[in-house]
Amino acid sequence: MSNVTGILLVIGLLVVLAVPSLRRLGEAYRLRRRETVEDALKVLIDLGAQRPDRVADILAGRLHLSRRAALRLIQMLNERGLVSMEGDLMRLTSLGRALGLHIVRAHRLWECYLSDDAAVPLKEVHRLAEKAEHHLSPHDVRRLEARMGYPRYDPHGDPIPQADDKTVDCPGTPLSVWPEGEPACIVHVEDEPESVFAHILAEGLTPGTQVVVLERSPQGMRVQADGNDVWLTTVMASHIHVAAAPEGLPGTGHITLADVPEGMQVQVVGISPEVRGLLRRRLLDLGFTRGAVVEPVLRSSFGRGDPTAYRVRGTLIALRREQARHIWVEPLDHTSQEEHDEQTVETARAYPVDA
Amino acid sequence: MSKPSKPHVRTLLTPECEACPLFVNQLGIDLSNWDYLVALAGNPNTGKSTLFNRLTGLKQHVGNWPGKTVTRAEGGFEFNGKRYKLVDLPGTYSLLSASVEEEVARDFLLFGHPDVVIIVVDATALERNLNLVLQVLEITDKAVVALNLMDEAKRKGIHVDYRRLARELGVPVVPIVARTGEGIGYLMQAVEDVAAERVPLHPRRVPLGPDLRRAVEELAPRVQALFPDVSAPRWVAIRLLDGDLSVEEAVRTGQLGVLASAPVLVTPTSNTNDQAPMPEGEALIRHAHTLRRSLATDFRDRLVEALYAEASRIAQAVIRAEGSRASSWEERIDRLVTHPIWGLPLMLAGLAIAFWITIVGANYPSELLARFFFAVEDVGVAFFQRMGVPWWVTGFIWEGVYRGLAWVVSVMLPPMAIFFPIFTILEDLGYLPRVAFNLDWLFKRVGAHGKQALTMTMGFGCNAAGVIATRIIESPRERLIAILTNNFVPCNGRWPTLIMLGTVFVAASFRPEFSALAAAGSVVAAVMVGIFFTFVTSWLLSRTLLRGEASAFTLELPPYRRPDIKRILYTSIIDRTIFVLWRAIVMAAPAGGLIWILANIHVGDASLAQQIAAFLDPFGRLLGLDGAILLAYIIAIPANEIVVPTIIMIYSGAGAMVEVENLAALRTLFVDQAGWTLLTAVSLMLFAVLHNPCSTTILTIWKETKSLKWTTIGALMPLGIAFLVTFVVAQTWRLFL
Repeated sequence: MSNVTGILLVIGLLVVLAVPSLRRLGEAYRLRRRETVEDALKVLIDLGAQRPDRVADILAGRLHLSRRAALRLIQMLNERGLVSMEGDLMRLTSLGRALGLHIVRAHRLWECYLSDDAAVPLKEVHRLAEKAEHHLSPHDVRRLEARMGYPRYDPHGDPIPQADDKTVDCPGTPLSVWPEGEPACIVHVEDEPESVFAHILAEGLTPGTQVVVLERSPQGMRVQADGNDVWLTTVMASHIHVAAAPEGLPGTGHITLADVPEGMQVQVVGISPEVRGLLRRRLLDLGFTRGAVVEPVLRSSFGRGDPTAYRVRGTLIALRREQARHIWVEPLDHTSQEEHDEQTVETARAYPVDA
Repeated sequence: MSKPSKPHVRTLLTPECEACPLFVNQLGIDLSNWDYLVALAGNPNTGKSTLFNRLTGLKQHVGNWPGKTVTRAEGGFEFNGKRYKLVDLPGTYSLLSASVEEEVARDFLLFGHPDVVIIVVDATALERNLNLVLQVLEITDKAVVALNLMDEAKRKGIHVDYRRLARELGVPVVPIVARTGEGIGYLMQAVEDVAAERVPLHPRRVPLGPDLRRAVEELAPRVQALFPDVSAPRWVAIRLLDGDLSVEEAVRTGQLGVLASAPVLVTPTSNTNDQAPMPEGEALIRHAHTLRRSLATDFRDRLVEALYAEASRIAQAVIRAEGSRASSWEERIDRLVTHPIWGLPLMLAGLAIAFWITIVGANYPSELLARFFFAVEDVGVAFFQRMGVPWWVTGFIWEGVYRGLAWVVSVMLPPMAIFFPIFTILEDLGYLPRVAFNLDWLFKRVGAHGKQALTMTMGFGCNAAGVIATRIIESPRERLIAILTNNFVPCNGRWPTLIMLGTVFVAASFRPEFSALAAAGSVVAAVMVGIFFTFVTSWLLSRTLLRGEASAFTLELPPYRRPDIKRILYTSIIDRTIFVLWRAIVMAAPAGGLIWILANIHVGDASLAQQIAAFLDPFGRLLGLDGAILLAYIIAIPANEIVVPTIIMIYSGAGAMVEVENLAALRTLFVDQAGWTLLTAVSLMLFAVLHNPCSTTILTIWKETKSLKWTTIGALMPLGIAFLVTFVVAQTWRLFL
C-alpha cells in the first residue's frame, strides 16, 4: 500500500515537473528559429540587392546551414514580409531593415555594456552578445544606449547605428595601406573571423592603441604598438582600421598612478580611454579629474600594495592596482603650485571680509 | 581634546548670543501640516545623519525610496512657529552618474520640489564637497550650505572664510557643529529666510566648455519656452544632452511642467495634462539627440572636470590652511590598523571581543526572556483549560504558534540587540572600512569586494541583516556575490546547534581534559568550512553566472570620527533589530503552528511528523543524516533556532517542541534512542552551515535584488552544495571508517 502511494506520488511529481520543462523545450525551439531569422537579417543588411540563390549561398556559409535550409529560411523571410523581390533581385523590405538594424544595435550596445561596465575581456564580448542580442526589446536597447552614454562605437570600433539612421559606415583606413612612419590610432578591429580577432588581441592591439608602421613586406608588416614591436600578417593588418593619432593625449611613456611611490604628490593628466562606462564615471565623480592632486598614503600590507589608498581632494580613496594603472599622472610642478597658492591668497585679500 | 577649540568656534558661530536657546523643536515622526519641505543633501560621511537627528530627534520614519533599495528617512521639526518636514537624501559624491542613490537624490531635487535644500558640507574636505554643492545649485536656487565639522577643521588648522564662500556660491552658508548643535539656530534662520524668499539668491553656475555651452544655449531656451515654470532650464538641457531617461520621460509626458507649477506631494489633481506624450516634448528630445552628436564624445568628462575645477578654485579662495593638512594621529592609527604584523591580530582580537561581548552579554537576557515566555505560556494554558477550551485549540495556540514565537524571540533578540550596535559603532568609528581595505586582496582573488568581509561579519549576527548590509557595496556584481554567499556564514540561530553538537559529540570522543578545546575547535572548523565555501562559490559565481554583471571597485576610507552612541543605540535597536525580528516572527508563528499540527495528527500508530520522517529516512541516510533531521529542516525554514527543538520533538514523540537542558539526557536521546553516530553529528554540522537560508533571508534577498532568478539561486545553490558535501562526506566516511 505505502509502496504504491509512494510510486504514485513520485510519478505525479515527475509529471508536474515535466510539463513546464516540455513547454520550455517548445519555447527553445521557437526561439532558435527566431534567432536564425534575426541572424539572417543581420547578414542581409550589408548585402543590398542580390539574386536569391546568391543570398542562399551567403546565408548558408555565414549561418552554417545546409543550402536547403537556407532556401527555406529565405522563403520564410519572404512570407513574413522581411524581404521582397524587385525583378529577379531580392532585397530587405523597410520592415526587415528596421529589424536588422535593431539587432545590430542591440549586439553592439550589449558589447559596450559587457566591455565597459562588466569588464568582460574583449575576446569574449562578441560571443556573449551574439546570444543577448535576441533578448533585447527596442525599449531595452534605448535604455541600454542611454545608460552607456550614447556611445558611437562598440568596444572594437564598429559604429553603432542610431535608432533612425539608415547607413552603417566603417571608420578609418585599413592598417595594411596606412603610410609608414605616420603615427596612427586604432579605431576598429574586425571581430570576425574569431581566430584572426584573437590573434590581434593577443598582440595587445585594441581600439585606442597608438601604432606606427615600421616596415612592410609582402607577407606582413612590423608595427610599433605602445612601445612594443609587433609582427602582423597582411590578413591581420587588413582587419585593423586606423586613423591619424589625436593630439594632446599622452601616449606611451607616461607614468600611471600605480607607479607613484608612497608620499609623492602627483597631478592627474587623464584617465585612459580604455576605461569606459561605470568605472570611468565613478573615478571622475570621486575627483580623479585632470589637474587633481593625488598622493598615495597607505598601501595594503597584505596585498603588497593592492589596493592602495590615495588622498584625493581631501578624502582617502582606495583603488586596486588595475584601476590605478589606468590613471595617467605627472609629477607635481612645485614652483607653479606655490605661485598659484600665492596668487589665490592675493585675490583673497582683495576682498575684505565684511563684518 | 575639543576643549581648546570650543571658545573659538563659539565666537565664530555665535558671536553675540551666548544665551541663545537652541530653538528648534524636534517633532520626530509627527509630520502633520508641515509648512515647508526641506531636503538634506550631502556627501557620505559629512555628518548628515547627525544633523538630521539634531533637527528631528531620534524618532524618524525609515523606509525605502519607492521601488528602490535605498534607505529613506523622514522627520519633522518646528522652528519659529513654522513646521518643517525634513527628507534625508542618500549621501552621494555627485548627481551625474547612474547609481541608484544618485538617481534618487536627483529625482527628488527636481520632481520632489523641496522648498529648501540644506547641503551638508565637510569643512575639512571642502573641495570635494563643493562638487556636489555646485551640482545641486544647478538644479535649484533655494539652497543653504551647512558648513559642518567646523571643530574638526579648526583642530586640523583649516580656516574657512564662510562669508566669502557664501558670496562665491550665491546662497547662505552657515558654519555649524552638528554633533554639539552649535550654529543650528543660525542654520534654521537661514533656512527659514530662503523658504520664505526673504533673501536674494544668485547661485553660482559652472562655466561650461565652448561646445557644450553652445548646445546648452540652444536647448535651454526651448526648455524654458515649453515649461515656463521650470526653475533650472539649463540643467534640464544638460541632462537631456546627457540622455537622462527620467528627465526625458518627464519632458515627453509634460510631467516636468506640471511638477514645476504645482506644489508638490499634493495629490496630482492639478494635473490637467494627461499622460499622453506631447509632440513638442518629443521634438525637444530629438533636438537634444541631434545636438549630442555635435558634441565631443568625452563631453561628460569635461563636465565633471569643469565642476571640480570650479570647486577647486572656490576652495582655494576661501581656505587658509596652516600646519600639516592631515592630522598625524589619524595617519598613525591608519599605519597601525593596516600594519603587516599588527593589523591582522588587531582585527581578529576586535572580532573576538565583539563576539565575546555578544555571547556573554546575551546569555543572561536570553535565559530571562525564555523563562518569562514560558511562564506566560503556563499561565495561558491554565487559563484556556479553565475556560474549557478544547485541548487541541490550546495546544495549537500555546504549544504551537506561541512557543515557536517565544523560542525565536528569546534566542534571537538579545544577541542581535548587542551585536548590531557594536558593529555600527566600529563602522562609524571608521575602523571597518580599514578591515575591508586589509582583506581586499583576499576577496579580489575570488572576484569579490573587500567590503564583503563586513557583510559576512554582519551575517554572523543574522544573515538577513547581512544581506541588507550589502548595500554598502556599490558595485553591482560584487554586491550580488555578497548577497548570494552570505548564508555560508552561520548566523546566531545556527550557533546553538553547532555548539550543542560540538559539546555532545565531538568533545565526547576526546579525553575530558581536551573536551572543551575539541568542542570549540569543531565549531571553529565548521565556521571555517562555511568561509571556505563562501570563497569557492564567490569565485565560481564571478566566473559563471555573474560574468555579465557590472562592476567597479572603489573603497572610501572615511576619517576616524567619534560615533554618536545615542543615535547608534536607537537606530540599530529600533531599525535593525526590531525590523529583522518582526520578519522572523511573521515567519515563525505559522511554522510553530504547522509543527504542532504535524506532531499531533496521528496516522496509524505514529504522528504525521514521525510518518514523514520515516518516509524521508532513506534519503537522509544517504547524506549521513536521518529523516527526522531533514523534516526538521524543512518545517523549520522560517527560523534555524527551532531546528533542534523540532528534532527532539520528533524523536521523543512529544506533542510540541521541547528543549533538553541536560547534555547527558540529550546524548542518551540522540545516541541510544535515535542511533546517531559521530558521522551524524559531523554531517549535521556541515548541513547546518551550508544549507539553504531561512525564509526571512530568502525574503530579504528578494527585496534587495527584486529578482526571482537571484532569489532562487540564493536559496537553492546553498541547498545543493549542502546535499553534495554531506553526501560525499557520508559516503567516503562509510567507505573508509
